[in-house]
Amino acid sequence: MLFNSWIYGVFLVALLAIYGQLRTRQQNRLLLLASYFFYGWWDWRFVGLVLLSTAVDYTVAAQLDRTPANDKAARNRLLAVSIATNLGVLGLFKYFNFFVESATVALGAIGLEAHIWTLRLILPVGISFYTFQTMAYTIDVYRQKTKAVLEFELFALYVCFFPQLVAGPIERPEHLIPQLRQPRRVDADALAAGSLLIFWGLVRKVGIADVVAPAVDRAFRHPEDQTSMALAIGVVLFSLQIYNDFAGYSSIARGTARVLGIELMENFRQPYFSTNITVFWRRWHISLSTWLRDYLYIPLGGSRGGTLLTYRNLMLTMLLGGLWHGASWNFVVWGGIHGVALAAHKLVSGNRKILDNAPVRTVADGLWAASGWAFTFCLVLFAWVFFRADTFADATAVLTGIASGRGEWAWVDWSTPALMTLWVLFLDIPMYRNDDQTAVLHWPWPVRGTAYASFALLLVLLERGKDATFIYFQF
Amino acid sequence: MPPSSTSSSSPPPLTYDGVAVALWARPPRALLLALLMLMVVELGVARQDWIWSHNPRSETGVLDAIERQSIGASHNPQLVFMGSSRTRDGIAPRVLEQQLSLEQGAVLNLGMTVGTPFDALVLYRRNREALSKAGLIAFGVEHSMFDANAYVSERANRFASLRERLLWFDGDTRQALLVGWVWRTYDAREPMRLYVQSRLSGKQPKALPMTDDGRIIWMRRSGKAEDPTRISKKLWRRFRFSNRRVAVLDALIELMQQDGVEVVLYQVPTRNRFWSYARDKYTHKVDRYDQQMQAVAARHGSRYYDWQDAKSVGLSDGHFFDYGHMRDSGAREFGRVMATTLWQGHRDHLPEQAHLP
Repeated sequence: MLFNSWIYGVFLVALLAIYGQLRTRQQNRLLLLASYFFYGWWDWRFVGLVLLSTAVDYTVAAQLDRTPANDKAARNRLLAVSIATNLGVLGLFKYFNFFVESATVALGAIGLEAHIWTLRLILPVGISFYTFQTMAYTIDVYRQKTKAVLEFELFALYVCFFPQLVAGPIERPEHLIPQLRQPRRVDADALAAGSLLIFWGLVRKVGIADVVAPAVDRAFRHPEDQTSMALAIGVVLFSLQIYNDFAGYSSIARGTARVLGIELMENFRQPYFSTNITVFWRRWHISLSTWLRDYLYIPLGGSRGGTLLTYRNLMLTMLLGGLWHGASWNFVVWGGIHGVALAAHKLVSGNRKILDNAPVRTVADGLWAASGWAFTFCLVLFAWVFFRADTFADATAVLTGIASGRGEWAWVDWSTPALMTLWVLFLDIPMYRNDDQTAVLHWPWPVRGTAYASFALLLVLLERGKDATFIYFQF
Repeated sequence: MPPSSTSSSSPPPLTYDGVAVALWARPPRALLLALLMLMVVELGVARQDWIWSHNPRSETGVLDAIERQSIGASHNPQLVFMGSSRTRDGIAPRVLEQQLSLEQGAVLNLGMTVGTPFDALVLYRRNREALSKAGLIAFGVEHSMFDANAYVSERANRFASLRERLLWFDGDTRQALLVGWVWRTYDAREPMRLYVQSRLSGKQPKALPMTDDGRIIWMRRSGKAEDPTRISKKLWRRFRFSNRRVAVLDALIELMQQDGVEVVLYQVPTRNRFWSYARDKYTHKVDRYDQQMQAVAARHGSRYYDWQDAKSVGLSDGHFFDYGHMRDSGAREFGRVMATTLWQGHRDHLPEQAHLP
């Protein structure tokens, strides 16, 4: 069931109508059923996988809760069971063929011919998201940062809460579980803010991401046939597509949860306005970047082991973060580029505190910020080429094609990129300035009303139908 | 909480149960303004006929263009062809008029892109007086017209009544059509988008060009033939026979027969290598479809000519520019076959002066 489908609208309205009449425990039961229904809409068989992950982590966490803190060996064994199960499922469904094929190529490179069989498996939607979410829970219980949840229904709902089940935000137990325990009321403010977030998400998805998708597909399908300018525009449009597609999804997820009285964490805060790569990662896919920080970078030693170890940890974190996106070396390269950039930025900035939004007081500050923004944006665009291209050869074809300066560019239709950029700025500037994704609610009502009507009409006019799935579903 | 107890400056949060009270206490003015503006578009644009017909090259505007340029220009239509773009490309009225010694304008080709029995029914209903004068109407069937998964043109959004949307369409299409029946802005989104585009670009849509042999053709008519595997998969793999769509064909034939028109069904020829691939790969589906068409014809006492195999009517691969759309040479050749067949099998329903040389 896609967020940008009619059936989802019907599903949500029907759910809300019942939900508002129930007490907390009944609300949770309803949400649990609705979440399995929502997930099963794609493929019922994979509900079993969610249940497996849920059952294992519920049992492991309950055991951890009963095991004394000083019994390290037992606690380690329990944690290993959880991690092995989650990563095992993820590895089997997502990475098995990738590793087998990579091994075959590697053996071939040293002259050994290997015929290793691969599996024909369908990647279950959202598997990377919910496995990370359950792992976060078990690790937190292991670290005694959070208490184990002994009510199975409640824990199951934490794992499969439908707004964020298939593409995040990857929630943390200390944030989501207390909210699921609390009595919740659907009030007018929550309805207004939630509906706005849903609406804004649809505008991003249908009005921007889906509109630029054909131009992006053209550029990346046969890069060798494209002019330099068409390729460059294709890359810029992909940056708009992936941002608005994913931020749109996250916004709808947050809006849906909000109308149900639950606050999900922010996943995007206008990342393309960042003036350096460190800030970019504080604003892009926040739930994943903080997950990687807390459960990978810091356990690896973070910045505690000296400069070289810090760079190693950054690189490892970003390489694995890249691989998390998909079983392809292109994602690893993408992660590597960001790892190198983060390490380089750390080297340049030393021990100075990196502010999210550095104040601009003088012209020199402004020029510095502008050049920082331009450099960061170009770097992010460069990395997106590897993220989007099907193969490494395609990515290099795109980059060499842009650098070659081939073809004329007078014919290039600028209207779509210009219009889309303006639209993104129109949406993002007020949110960035107020650091509030619902900043529009503070606009004067005639402006808001006109904006709602215009965007609603554009949504209808630009609707592409059921094939317009979200990019991050494949991860 | 009663409205009188709320303060207009800082209203307290209101529960779900009290949404109606909340609306009363704090009317969402922006939302109401937006709804008002959307209502203006709904009534002032989406429910007006011009939005559908302004572009003769759109899926809906083409119907008005055909009415103007084909039906309107003919004083005495005697033999009418209806169907999809394959009929549009494959039937050359002037060739048939020459073959059957009929006066110019006696043969009409009303085939249109993504044409289905529903489109033919709409066209017939709207021009019943003119078209019911024809002695014979030949409808070119093809399996995609009866595929529950196949695309349905926006003409359904424009013309289908609520009952027709419920009874004649399947699955997602029906769902979208039902939404569109309630909210016409959704129905009319494509013509509205085309209208905005033409206004922004300043380019006025052009009238449809008509070939010397009487066909209205404006789409690309050349290019590489696609791979039979790919196109056959696309057309046949997900094919699911729809009884709902057959019901439309039944309604079309019944209406025409009520007016005393002889109805003939013919299967539009498919380029040989595409046809043989589909027949071998999807034998069961192809056979079932063929049986269904024969059953429809038998039900109404009509003739059904199965010319799926292009070879059976003397057409070679060179007569097509893709899997099933004919070039000019194909239309000429097919016209000769069609003229002979109609003369031999339906002479009584052709004009008195008709004869084969």
